[in-house]
Amino acid sequence: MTYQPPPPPPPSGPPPYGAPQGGYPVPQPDSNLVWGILSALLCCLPLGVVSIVYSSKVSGLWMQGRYAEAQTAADNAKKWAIWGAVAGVVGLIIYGVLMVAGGMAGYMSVS
Amino acid sequence: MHIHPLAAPLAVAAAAAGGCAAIWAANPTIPGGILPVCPTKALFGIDCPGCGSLRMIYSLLHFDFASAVHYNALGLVAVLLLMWAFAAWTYGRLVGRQVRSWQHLRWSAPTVLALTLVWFVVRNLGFGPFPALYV
Repeated sequence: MTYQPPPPPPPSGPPPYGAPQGGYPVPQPDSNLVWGILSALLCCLPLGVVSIVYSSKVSGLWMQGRYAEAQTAADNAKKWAIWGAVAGVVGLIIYGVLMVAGGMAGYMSVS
Repeated sequence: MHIHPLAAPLAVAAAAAGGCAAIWAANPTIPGGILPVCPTKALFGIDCPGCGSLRMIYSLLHFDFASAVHYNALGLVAVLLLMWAFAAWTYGRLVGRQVRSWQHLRWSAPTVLALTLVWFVVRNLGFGPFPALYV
């Protein structure tokens, strides 16, 4: 078991809203849940769900005082939402190319 | 460079309007249209949690709420929640501070995850009232 250094203190700065006095040093990071849902709905369901899984960890980790892990989970949620969006766009492009190719092939065969 | 605070919400609204216009024009409720069938359905023949969303949005655009619920009830809830989040985000940019919305609540993300997984299962069950959820 190696020595685990304590997590770095969360970045300082004025809390933007409803400063939680005495409880947490800074507000909880945004879990990026909306991006995960948008990614799952519009782009690529599996990767969007991975994003939502990470989002759902943020609050719990934060409540346990595991601030660094909560921040990592929020960052992972954002990262997977972006990958889902990329996958969705790539899939749409491939689909478009196949549609055009299929349409041309059909046009060739009847003419 | 100064960007107007409403530039990003207006861009999102324009993209959503463009998507709605495409869905309206393509009419996904008629099979074999130009819009793609969900890959999950095309490859495996099962409904994913998002299946029927295009038809749900098409029905919503035509104020056919019963059909919208039929095509994807959870998707309809998601659309309403996303509109809520969009409104809060736009208002927050307008007044210059972050406005808290439903997605910041303690149990929002786990609830979304659980509902999505349950929805994935129940709409593919083949007995009782569940086949009505398959679209």
